[in-house]
Amino acid sequence: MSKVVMIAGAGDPVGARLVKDFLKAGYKVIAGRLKGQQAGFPEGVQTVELDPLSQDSAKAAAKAVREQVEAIDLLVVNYDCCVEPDPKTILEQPDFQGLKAAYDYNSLGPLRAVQAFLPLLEKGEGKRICAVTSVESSNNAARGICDYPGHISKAPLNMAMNQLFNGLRPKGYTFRMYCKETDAAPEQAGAFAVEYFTRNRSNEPESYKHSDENRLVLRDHMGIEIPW
Amino acid sequence: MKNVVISGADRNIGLELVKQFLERGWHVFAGRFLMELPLLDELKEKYPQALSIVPLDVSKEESVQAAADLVAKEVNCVDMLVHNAAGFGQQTPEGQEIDFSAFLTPYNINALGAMRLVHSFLPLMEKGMRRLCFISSEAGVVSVAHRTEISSYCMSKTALNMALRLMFNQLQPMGYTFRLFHPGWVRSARIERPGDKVPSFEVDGKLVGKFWPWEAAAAAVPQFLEDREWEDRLVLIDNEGAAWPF
Repeated sequence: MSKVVMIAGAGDPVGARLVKDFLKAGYKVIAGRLKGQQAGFPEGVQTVELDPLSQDSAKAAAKAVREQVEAIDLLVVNYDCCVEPDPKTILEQPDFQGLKAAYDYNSLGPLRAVQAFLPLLEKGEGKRICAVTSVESSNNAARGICDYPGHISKAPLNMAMNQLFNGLRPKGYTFRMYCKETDAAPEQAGAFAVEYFTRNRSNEPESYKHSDENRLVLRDHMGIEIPW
Repeated sequence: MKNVVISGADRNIGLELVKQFLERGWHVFAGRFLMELPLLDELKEKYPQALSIVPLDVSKEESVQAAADLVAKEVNCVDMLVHNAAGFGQQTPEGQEIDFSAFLTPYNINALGAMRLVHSFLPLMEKGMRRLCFISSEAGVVSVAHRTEISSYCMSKTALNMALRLMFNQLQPMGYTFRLFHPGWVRSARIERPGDKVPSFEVDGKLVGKFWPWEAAAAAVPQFLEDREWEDRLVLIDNEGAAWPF
């Protein structure tokens, strides 16, 4: 029986690439799409409607998926409403409603999906949670002076994923965090993600330094580790 | 006389920071959020000139701008800004469904509140000492995240640290200096109204936390005041002087 991947946020170019590459890797793919989104998914891909801003929507999606499959092996969350950088610095009047909306979407959206799909992951064998983010989420790597929505909406997800990791790693879960290339050409968006999400890493309990599964890391599209 | 604006000055660390600056001869603009709590009024009797109480709700831009306008009527410049106001958020008991929409509240106070303050007060700070101080927390440090449950408070402090990073990248080359302070695990009095037992630091009959608010403030103020030769790095320093990563 093929493994099942649930992709929350499959409608953008990165999501489309994830769908394509997971199919190529032999996975059964369930794609979460926004309301009204017609992403033109390949044949054989099941879709469910999934609103990042609503826990009820995430629950309904998980219920719909449960009617199709008994379990999922991988959950991928790929939400980003800040694809276009905001050019405003702190000297210009910030759009606080927009800042709240970005946090709700980019950090809380993925957590709603994780909460809703965790029972299905629990039944699966893969037990892997993967998140797509971008280098803007990294405090240590942030060199810019603008795009507050893109930065401060994504950084907290890194914190939450670390806390999920701390709680769930002892229960057998593994995690992947992937920094997409934000200015990638459409055909390059999400390249390497599936290879990264599906490949197992060293899991030696005695060697913390070389045991990548026992610490949470952020990697970019080249596989390079990005500091938090 | 130097001027400082402090958010969340009603009680606990904020109130103790106000006292510290008053004792050092500063003019303090104390941002008041809890209108019924009389502790700032009592302090005002002792420092009628040096203490100005300003209504300030950092969760609303109109309130922050109104506070800045009020301060601008009294003084020409603000030397130091201290963002101390914080919201903690409710921790959902393990096993229960988390309402993530409630996470917006501490984010709005802790992270966006800092942005509102800096944006509104910066025009007043050009001629002063240009120092921006923030009570942050190790709780927001991703690289040493140790909690095992998702915390709205931790996430909001991570967002705060990120906002400060972007501000630092822009404002430090303009001559502004930054202080990020982790106060340690501070005992907080849950008092909101007159008549509330003062100080009531206990939660369910237990003293929670390691340090008293006055200890945290006494550790913070020397860091806020000191000049450093290394102002070109953004560093989170705790009450014992140790630096934390991000």
